[in-house]
Amino acid sequence: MTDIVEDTIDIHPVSFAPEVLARISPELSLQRHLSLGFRPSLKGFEEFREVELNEDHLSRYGVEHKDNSIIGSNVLKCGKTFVVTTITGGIIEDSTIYKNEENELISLDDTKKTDLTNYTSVFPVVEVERGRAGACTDEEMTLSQKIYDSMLHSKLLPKSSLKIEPGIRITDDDGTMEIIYSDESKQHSAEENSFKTNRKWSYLLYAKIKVFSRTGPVFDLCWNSLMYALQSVKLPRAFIDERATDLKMTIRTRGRSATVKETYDILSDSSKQYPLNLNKENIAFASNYGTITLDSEAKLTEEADEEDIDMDAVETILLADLDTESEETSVNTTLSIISNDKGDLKHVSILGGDANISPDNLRKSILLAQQRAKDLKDKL
Amino acid sequence: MEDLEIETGYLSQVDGSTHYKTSSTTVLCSITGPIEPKSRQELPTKLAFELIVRPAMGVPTTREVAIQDKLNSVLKQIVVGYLYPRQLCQITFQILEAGENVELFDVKEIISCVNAATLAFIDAAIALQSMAVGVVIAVTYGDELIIDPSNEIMQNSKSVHGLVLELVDGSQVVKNVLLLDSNGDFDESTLFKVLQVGEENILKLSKQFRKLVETKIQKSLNN
Repeated sequence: MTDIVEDTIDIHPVSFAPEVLARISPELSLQRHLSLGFRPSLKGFEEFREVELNEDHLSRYGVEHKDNSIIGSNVLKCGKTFVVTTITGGIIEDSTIYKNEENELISLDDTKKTDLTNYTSVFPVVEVERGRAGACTDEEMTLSQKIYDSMLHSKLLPKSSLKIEPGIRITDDDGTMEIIYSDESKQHSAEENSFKTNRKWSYLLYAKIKVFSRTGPVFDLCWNSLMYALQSVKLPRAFIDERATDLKMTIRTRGRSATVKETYDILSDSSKQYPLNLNKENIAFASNYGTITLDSEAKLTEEADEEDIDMDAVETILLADLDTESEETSVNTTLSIISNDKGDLKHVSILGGDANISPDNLRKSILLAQQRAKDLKDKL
Repeated sequence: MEDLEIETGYLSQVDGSTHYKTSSTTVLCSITGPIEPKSRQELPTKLAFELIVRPAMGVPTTREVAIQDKLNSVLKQIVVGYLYPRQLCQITFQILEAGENVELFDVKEIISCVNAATLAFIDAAIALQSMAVGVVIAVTYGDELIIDPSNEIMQNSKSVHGLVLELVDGSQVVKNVLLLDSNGDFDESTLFKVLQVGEENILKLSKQFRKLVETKIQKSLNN
């Protein structure tokens, strides 16, 4: 019995390596870092990660000619995260959008420029690679939808930019084929007039956005990569074969009246293309911010007996460009801003959490978003 | 906001429900909870949420997932989650009338859902630490602010904003911004104007909500 009492027991304080503590208690790890004046990623509070671009090396119109169906692309690297955006296209027949209430065809220029229905968006699919296959996650769905909505509302892509003016491919007697576009040649006006249809076609743009090595929220990276990719998009010219232009099919089904439907096979010209016409003044870049309340108890003080810390004083700080797991889980008041270099805002979303968003912090983040947009714009 | 029609306790088989109708948007919100969760939903220290948004037409798409995401981040802030550890709260929203072009907007539905949920939480007697109340504001090309705009106004406006504030102290003090969803073309000063006008209208609306709750409680006390 006495042996036990006399035995001294050493209690060693358990200490963890910073990266281990970050996994066990991300909140504490973050607060410790912040109290020292920097973030777990060793960035300053309002410091952004550097962005590197690899412009359009993937598309068929890119730096190296390739034989694929990608019409615009971008690879963006930010910190450890890679975002690869590839844009492909499709053709649809428009049956509704160019008609007014009396079912008359109207030109797009007649409708008000301000109407949101005159604008469209790309159809994005965001994939965040996590090393496992399966159905898409909620994060991926939310990201895709947010990109679609933000682009539509920023009025960047007018529907008129995607309108197709199809050419006609004619075959001469000696078998040589030639494609005639009405706006390019005047001598073939006879052929051009012979082909008239009130059918309208337009392009659709699909964006496939792949994210590799995700370390934090990725909406801003995906958006910025899409902005660069869109600026590299070239649309191929499209044409109809002359044999198809006077195609008429009558469908009769035993007494029942059926609609007569002509089918046109629209083909894309592999040699002629034109750049996508964007509303350049509406190009804007995204950035994200978070606010967090400093926990005075988590402070690492030099002298342990320094007891005059005001426990009631709440200090809220603004962090720019959220990254790392500890920031993502602990900072639940977030701001996402899409702004151009002149400070015109296209989208602001605030999700409130524990920490308060003061007007000052909101102003500061808008200013930072403007500066960030300027930096990103100059990268092209 | 005069033509607001709200009925709480609309459904009989759930713990709390609201039928919420504005001039153009109608949603039905039901809350069941606290109930026993599936083991994968269970959170050891707080109440877990399961949110389902059903659109007015068709089946749920990514659009509804995005709405759920926004609603989830707002609603989990106002509930006193630590009172119900290892429990689940199931919240279902059925949009009856979107009141907006669903291909272009979702903000009117989101705001109606938030308002409906706040009242349904009270109906379900789930502890709240604050109230979440929201409005939709459109800014026209003439820089005019319109509260609860129609779909036509939204389509032709410069920017559209959805704002939800967290109210405490008898709904007289604004504690925080819970949600701001601004889209379109605007600048800093417009944003602050929207926040200011939004706050005034939200405080007005919350008075209406409190009155509604008061009458309801009074009625149940009398019975």
